Amino acid sequence: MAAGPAPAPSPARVTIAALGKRFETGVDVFSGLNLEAAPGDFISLIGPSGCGKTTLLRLLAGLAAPSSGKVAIDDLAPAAARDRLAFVFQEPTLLPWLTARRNVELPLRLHGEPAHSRAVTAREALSRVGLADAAERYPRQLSGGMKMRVSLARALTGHPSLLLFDEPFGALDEMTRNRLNEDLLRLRETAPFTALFVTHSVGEAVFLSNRVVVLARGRIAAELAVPLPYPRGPETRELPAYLQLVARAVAALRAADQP
Amino acid sequence: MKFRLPTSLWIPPLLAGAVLLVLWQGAIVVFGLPSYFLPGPGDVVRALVRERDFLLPAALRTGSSALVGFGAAVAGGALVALVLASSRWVKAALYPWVLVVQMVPVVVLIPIFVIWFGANLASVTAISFMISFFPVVAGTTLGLVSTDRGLLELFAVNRATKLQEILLLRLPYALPYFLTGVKIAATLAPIGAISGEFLAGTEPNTLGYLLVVYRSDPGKMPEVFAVALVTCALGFLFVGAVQLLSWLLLRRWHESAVRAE
Repeated sequence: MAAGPAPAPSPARVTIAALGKRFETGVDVFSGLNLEAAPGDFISLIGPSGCGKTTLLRLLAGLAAPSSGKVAIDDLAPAAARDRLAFVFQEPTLLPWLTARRNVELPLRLHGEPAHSRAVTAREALSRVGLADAAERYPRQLSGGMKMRVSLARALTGHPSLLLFDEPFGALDEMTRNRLNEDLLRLRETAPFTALFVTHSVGEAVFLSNRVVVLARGRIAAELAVPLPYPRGPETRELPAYLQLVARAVAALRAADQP
Repeated sequence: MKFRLPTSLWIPPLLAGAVLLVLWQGAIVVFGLPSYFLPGPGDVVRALVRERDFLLPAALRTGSSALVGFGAAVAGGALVALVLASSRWVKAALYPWVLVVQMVPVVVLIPIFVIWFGANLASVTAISFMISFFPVVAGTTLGLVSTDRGLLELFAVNRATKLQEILLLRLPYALPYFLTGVKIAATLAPIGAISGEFLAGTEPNTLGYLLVVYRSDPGKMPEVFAVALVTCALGFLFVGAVQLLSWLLLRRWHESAVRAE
């Protein structure tokens, strides 16, 4: 494989300490939020709409600034750690005028990677997500699931040590979502990263994560450890332990949603 | 991918055109209209053939003025749009003044340009520019400020420079909007040129000049219609060229071009 940006040495540590965020409207999203992600953690954030899940990811990505407190990735401020992180958005956010391959190349292109080596890296990333044959197709020629795979391949090209997922599979049908969940875990085995994953699906949260954090009214309302062993596959969803964890997470979410 | 005009795009207008021709000729016969009031389609075609040695060079000359004005409007309009879209403050400060300039009627601009540049092709080109400038500015500015927020954040997360954001995101994103503006400008540029020639009283061998000559003779009504026809053809040529360019640039990815296939 051609050299992309230097591979990250290890998954990142994320520190969120006494975090406060006030919107221009005067609404406090967080006041004194604390959360620590150890290197290699896969944390899913669940909670009612408007509880600040996406805002938390945006703060970590440096797309918004905290009003108070600290957000750090390997002890670096988000702006200084941007080459260590990648963001997978709710929408695939593909440039419609570029082919799948050239979309995957984009981060490398923005970092000044030569055309030939980035093309090789992009092809390799696309074959890792099972889209080797669709490299020269335009986004309009891809299904919703394929677009999201391209988005995933693009996020992985920079070898990030932290991946932020903002409900990336929310718009997909359940079959496609399950398959993408399995693919994501498989990809993580070959290129480990720390992940913060926002979702509204409790099943997805439990399947993917080793920790599920329930956010409500700007604070952590509950936290659930998921001791299911990796690698996980379709059979994991049939395990009694998985089903029990889902039930516990649903109960925690319901409790958090009570006024 | 071959450019193929769908039958649904050319058969209905052709049929409607044939019906209009029949109605036109029918009105002349039914109401007994004289040729100096409303010439028939046959009269117009005969005038077109008879005057071809004047009409063709005139069309070329008028077309050239329109082309220069149109080209300047496209380049200038795109540049002004880039400046307007560069910041909210710049747009707020300058856009109303661009609108004010657009509001000035051509009949007011013509004497001003004649004083500035003389009663020549420069004035005609300037009028053609003025009339086709605004659609390019409006379309391109809208495109540049409408860039998808998610894509902007993607570029921000990937530490794109401002120049990369403009070249790799904002400009391609604005392309369909820009082309829509250019298409409108293409319809206006020949109108601006012929209006300028007609009102500024410029050099001979232009469509505007021929119009002045023909309208002074009531017997030349078919020739006036022939000038109208040639002007329409000129407009179609401009729009057709832009349409082709638009198809070439958007055919692979933009819904408007994909659906037209």
